[in-house]
Order: sequence, then C-alpha cells, then structure tokens
Amino acid sequence: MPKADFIMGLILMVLSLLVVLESLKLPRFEKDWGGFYAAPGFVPLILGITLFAMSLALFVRAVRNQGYKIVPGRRTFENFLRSKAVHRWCLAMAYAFGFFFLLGHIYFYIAAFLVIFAFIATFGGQKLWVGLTVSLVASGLIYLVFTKIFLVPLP
Amino acid sequence: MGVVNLVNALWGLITPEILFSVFWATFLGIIVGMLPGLTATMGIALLTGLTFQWESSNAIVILIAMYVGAIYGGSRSAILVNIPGTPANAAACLDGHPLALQGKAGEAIGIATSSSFFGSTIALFFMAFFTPYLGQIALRFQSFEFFWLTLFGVLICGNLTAPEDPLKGWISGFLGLFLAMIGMEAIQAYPRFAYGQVDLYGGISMIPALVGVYGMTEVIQTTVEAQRRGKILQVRRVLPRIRDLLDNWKNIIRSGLIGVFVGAIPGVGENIASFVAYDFARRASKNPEKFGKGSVEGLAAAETGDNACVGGAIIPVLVLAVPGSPPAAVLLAAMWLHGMRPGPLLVIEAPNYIYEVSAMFLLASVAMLILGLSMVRLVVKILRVPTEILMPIILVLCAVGSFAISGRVFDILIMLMFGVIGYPLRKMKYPDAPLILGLILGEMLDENLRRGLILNAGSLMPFFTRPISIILIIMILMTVFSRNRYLRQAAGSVKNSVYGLFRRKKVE
Repeated sequence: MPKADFIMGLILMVLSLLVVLESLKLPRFEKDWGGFYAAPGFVPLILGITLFAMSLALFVRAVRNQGYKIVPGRRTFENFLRSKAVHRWCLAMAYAFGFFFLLGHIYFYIAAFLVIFAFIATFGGQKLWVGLTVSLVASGLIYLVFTKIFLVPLP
Repeated sequence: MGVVNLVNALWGLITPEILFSVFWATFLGIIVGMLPGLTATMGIALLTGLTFQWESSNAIVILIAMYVGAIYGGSRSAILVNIPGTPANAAACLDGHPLALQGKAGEAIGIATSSSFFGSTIALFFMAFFTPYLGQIALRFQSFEFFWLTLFGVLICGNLTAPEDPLKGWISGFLGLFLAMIGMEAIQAYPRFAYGQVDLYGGISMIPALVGVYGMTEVIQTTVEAQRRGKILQVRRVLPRIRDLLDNWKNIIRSGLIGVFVGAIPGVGENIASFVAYDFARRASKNPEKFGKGSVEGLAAAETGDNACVGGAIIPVLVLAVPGSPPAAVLLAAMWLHGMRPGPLLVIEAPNYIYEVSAMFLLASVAMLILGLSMVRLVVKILRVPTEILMPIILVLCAVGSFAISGRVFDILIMLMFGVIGYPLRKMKYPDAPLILGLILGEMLDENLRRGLILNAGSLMPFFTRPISIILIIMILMTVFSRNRYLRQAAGSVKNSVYGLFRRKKVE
C-alpha cells in the first residue's frame, strides 16, 4: 500500500521531529546527575531520532513505489463520502464518544441502554422491540453484576 | 523437589472457592475465545479491572483460567463456523472446518480439546521445573542486560508479527516505547509530554490502552466492516478417538515444545506458535497433501502449539517481568496491581510463587478439558448471538473495565483513543502486539539505560562488554538483519565459499 505508506511516512516524520524538539526542551539536570545521559529527554530523543529514521525509510520506499500519486479526483471524494463503511465509522464514533460524554452526566445504566440501543437500531436487522428489550436487559444486567457481584464502581 | 513444591502448591489451591473460580472463569474464557470479536487479551484485561478488589490468589487464578479457556475456546468457532474466535486459532480453521464439513465436527472438537490439554501439560512441565533455573540466570541481569532485553523484545516482536514488512512492526514497537515516555519518569520524577494535564502525570495506563487496542478496535472493525458469521454446523458426539491421539504423539510433543519456545519470546503470542507448529507438522507429515483438507495432524499441531504457548508466555513474565504474549502482558499488569513482583527477584523473595502459578495453570487446563468435552451444545448456542448485539455490549464492558482500576473517566477516553488509532493502524498492517509491548517495556528500557549510564559515569563499555549483553546484541543484530536481502545474499555467498573449500573437486 504505497499511498498509505507515503502519508503515514510523512505523518510519522513530522511526529518524530516534534518528539526530538520537545525532548531537547526538557530540563537536563546535568549539574546534579553528571551528564545529558541522565536527562529526562535523553531516551525520548533517541526514540525520536530512531522513529524519524524508520519513517524516512518508509517514506522513501513509498516514493519508489509511486505512493506520491495520491491526489484524489472529485469522483474519489464523492465515492468516499458515499461509502457505507465511512458512514458506519462516523456513526460508531458518534455513539462511542456520545456514550463517553454522557457518563458522569446521567446514570450509567441509562447511558449504557442508550448506546446499546443506538448500535442495535442502526446496525442490526432486529425489530425495534427486540432491540429495546436486549438493550434494557443488557444494561440492567451489566449494572447489577458489576455493582453487586464484582463490587466495581461505575462511572 | 520441584514435584513436591508443585503438589504442595496444588493442595493449597484446592478449596471450594478457588475451584469454583477456576471453573466459571475457564467457562467464561471459552465463551470469550469462541466469540469472534472478543480476544483473550480483552477478556483478561476486563476481568483484571473487575477482580481488582478481590483477594490476589483468587484474582490471578481467575485470570489464568480466562487465558487458558480463551485460547482454547477460539477453536470452537474455527471448527464450526470457519472463523477463528481468537487470532491464535486461525490455524485451526485450516483443518478443523474441513473436518466439520465431513460430518466430523464432534471428533474435531474432541481432538482440539485433547491437544490443547496436552499442550498445556507440556508447558506446565517447563513452567514448574525450568522456570526456577531460568530465574537463577535472570539474577545475573543488571541494567545493561535489561536494556538490551527490552530492545530485543520489541524488535523480535515487530519482526515476527509483521513477517511481510518488519519495518512496520518496528515502527509500531517504537511508537509504543515513545508512548511509555509520557508521564513522570522514574529517575528525576519529571513529568514528560504531559503539558500540564494532571491525568497524564501518571502516564498512559496499561489496561485501558490494552482494552482500547484489542477491544475497541475490534468493535470498530466489526461494526464498520459489517462482519457476519456463516452457518454454524451441528455437533453430535464430542469424544476424541484415542487412536488419533496415539498416532500423533510425536506431533503433539513437537508442537508443545514449539509452543513453549515461541511463548517465551517476548510479545510474539499464540497465533505465531500455532502456525509454526502447524508448518512443522506439515513438513514432518507422511501425508502433507491432506493438510488444509481435514488433517487430524494439522488440527492437533495447531491446538497443541497455541495452548503450550500460554504456559511458555508466562515463564518470562515470572522470571524477567517481560511478557511473552499480549495476554501475558495483561497478566503481568494484574500481578503488579495485586502487589506481586515478578522478575529476577521472584526466585529469592517468593520462590513458591512459581509453583503456585504452575498449579493455577494446571487447574485451569483440567477445567478446560472437562468443560471442553462436556458443555458443547450449550456453548454452541452462544455462537448464534448476532455481532450487532454483541459489539455495543463489548463497548460498554470496555468502558467499565477501563474505569474500574483507577476510577478515572480519563481512562475511558484513553481506551477510546487507542481504539480510534488502532483501527487505521490495523488496516495499514501495523501490528498491535509491538505497540503494546513497547508501551509495557518502555519504562524498563528508559530506566535501565539511564541508570546504567549514571552508575558508570556515562560510559557505554558495560553495555557492550558483559557476556549476556553480547549475546543479546548478537540476537538483536540477527533479528534486524535477517530480512535484509543483500545481507542474506552475502551470507549465502560466504557460506558457499566456505563449503566449497571442503568439497571434493570433480575429476574429469
């Protein structure tokens, strides 16, 4: 997958350069500890340099395989926006992060009920009442089992 | 001496509470392993959070039982539906499902169950009787050796989990090592890359990260790709034919040894073990053409290898505090959470703990054998639960498991972020295992490198002159350069030149 490697190589090179720069900014404590090798930024600096070298190798390999030919046409964008997989990903992310943001604002079992029902109603082929029943039973069971049997605090 | 210690440890564990825990955890493990989308790592990670407040020996035996059950359980769906329940059982699909299609689903499950039990038994032998000796060798490790060991672990894990492109495996590993740098470091207690976020001062918690990579990523992948399960084949009798097992005794022993050896390699895991065992079985078989078409040898090799790997993976956890597989990584985290100190000092501080863990492993293996042969029909019904119902329940369980350890909602965010990052990384063929191994070993690498340099006033000499360090450096060089085409060609030419000196010249 040269195109994916091309983009990933670029991202990783930028990320590793940022790691190197941030590592150099960390205090060195050379007076107290003897040398730069004791500094908090020493190992992240080495990791950043190594990551840069590896991502450069990935990038160069992708360029050799013509991975730079990534400028998408209008049709590619349209197909991407219309893709069912992309829609499913967006909805799954919305439900998962929506669940996260609801936690702490409403009771856990209500948030769990809503997210389970949302998934079943959107991605499942079951009837509405089946989805409602399963969501109710599952969220209730999870709440009871974890709070009463495992004694685990819930968010 | 070892046998006596093992028997004593076993006797200490035979209480109604522990036995009940072993059986329900193994049963749960079989279900987790059987359901595609749930992995052993996720199951152990979730149970770690849930049993955090329980008594430590009960909690650890539950986790080991879950581990053993889950690695075995995936063979069910592999045989009946041709979808491996866990990556470790992918090799079981190759011959297990064809056997089921021939009307031999029951025999296939019986062979898989027995082979898994024999694999566990072989691993138990090494765990109980060789681990203490390995512990003595591990006592000679100092900072220098631990640095090279952690580097070797990440590199070989990257090499073996991304065989087509080791560069991606190494990038994944080094990303994990960098993520481990976030938070307060161990020597000066200075917070790195936290940018004022108090939640990050403690670093990225291991359990939420593991649950994110192995749980949330699976939820996203299954939902996005709308994966459906195929038809589930019927099962009648489940009893292995003794003759099949006796005919495969060499195969089982060889596969068990391979499983233990691969398990002891840091971070590699059961899927590699099962495929390597399968490959060796095919090469050694008198009927290699039957492999892939319903070969009992192939199925036995795969299942023996993956379950032997479970025990093999626990060995480096105990003596080196380096996990042999992703589920073993969670087990290591759980031991730390429960106040255990696995590592070289274990043989001094708590030498009987090795036998206790071995006894737990034995109990879990026996429970797996009993449950595997007896509760087939009930367990198969669970396979019919649609993935669209299962996935959101798993999402909620992932959130609970991530929250349970520290009681921080931030950990749920970590879990979600690792899931979000994990999915594109997986699609672009960056393996998960090196990322997690890097996250686990990063602190060890950082601390030991800097400590070694501080103790020797910045001198690198001990890193390159100590005997165990030299061995580890050679292993690292072999790992890194084994895939290099030019070096392999050069090595081949050198070999031919050397052999040529000893070949007889043809007289014409």
